[in-house]
Amino acid sequence: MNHRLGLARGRLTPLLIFGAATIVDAALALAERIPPQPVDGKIRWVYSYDEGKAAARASGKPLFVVFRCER
Amino acid sequence: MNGVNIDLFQFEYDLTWMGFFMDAEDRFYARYGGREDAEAESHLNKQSLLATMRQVVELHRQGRTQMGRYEPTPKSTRTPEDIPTMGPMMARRKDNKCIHCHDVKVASLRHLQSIEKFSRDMVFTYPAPSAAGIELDPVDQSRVRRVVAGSSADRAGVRQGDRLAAADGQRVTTLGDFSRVLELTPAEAALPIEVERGGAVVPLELRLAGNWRRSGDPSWRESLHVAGPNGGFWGQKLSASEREMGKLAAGAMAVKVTFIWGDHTRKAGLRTGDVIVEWDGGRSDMTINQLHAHLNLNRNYGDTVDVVVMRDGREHKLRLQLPTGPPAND
Repeated sequence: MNHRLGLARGRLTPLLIFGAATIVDAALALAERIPPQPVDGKIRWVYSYDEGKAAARASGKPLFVVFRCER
Repeated sequence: MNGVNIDLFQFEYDLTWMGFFMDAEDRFYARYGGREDAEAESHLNKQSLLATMRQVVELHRQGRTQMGRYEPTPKSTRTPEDIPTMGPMMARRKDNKCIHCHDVKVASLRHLQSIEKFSRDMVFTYPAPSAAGIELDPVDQSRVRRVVAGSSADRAGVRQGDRLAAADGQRVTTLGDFSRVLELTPAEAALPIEVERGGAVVPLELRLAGNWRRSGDPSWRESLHVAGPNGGFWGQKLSASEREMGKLAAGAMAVKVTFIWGDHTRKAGLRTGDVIVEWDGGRSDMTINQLHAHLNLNRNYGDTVDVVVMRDGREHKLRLQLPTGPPAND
């Protein structure tokens, strides 16, 4: 459990192209179609790896991919 | 982890949090996460995250992703659902079909058990730097904060204050980076490392042998229950005041039973409210996770374990006959 970083128990993959201002919240495009538990805060996370990569290519910025326990 | 490419995102699945810095072509700059036994957040903090981000921005500008044999280069996608034991495991779950990180490891280990290739040491994945005798600074994560006396690092000549720059040619920015190298290092190995000391790069060699991957307190690992039998109950350590009331010494074992699920536990006569003061011959202080971990790693199904509990102000001796195999729905 990682409370310091504002995370709780669960299993998802949010992505952040850090430094970018055009992060888009996306529906989870994974096999089970389980919706992610949104992360509170000022950062807008992307919940699809492919969308994150597309945004990283478009912005020329690196990705920060996080796996967190949420449930 | 549903649908995640686990050939690409390889990490310690017993963790509850892990981060990767990457480019848009599935290549890695740095791994951020991992832990020492003592604390889940031992190396997760805002300062180190920011420092790693700054380094990654510069690496990204220079196009310096990690290369070499420690980096996954998946030709195809393999997901947790592809692990043969995952389907039956998830089918038994009624409500929550989320595949947790630790489920990936549990299913993988169970698969190895099913093809008779499992050994208990397989639980000890992604060794922390301390496995090699190096304690990395929680903030400046490539800086050696302490070298364990008599350890591989000590014998290699690693010194406090050194900067661990590379391990077997792999850049080390974080604890996660070093742990990744250790994960793919064989049980018997001479691991070349480079440390920066006083402005110079010093090549050293970590000689690793024996059970160096085994850590002292793996009780935090969710996957541990795959390794062996458990006690069939839940409980919690008594507080200092509770110990005082029960006249139990500080530093001695005192775990109060709060919930019993194991038939073998009930048959042994263990009751909710009992305080366990001796477990398989030991009386040193343990958490409930440590009690279970002891059995998981040191006892076999079918073994008998002696237990002493405090009940109504006096000690009672019990014998716990462990089940002959894992429960069918495990």
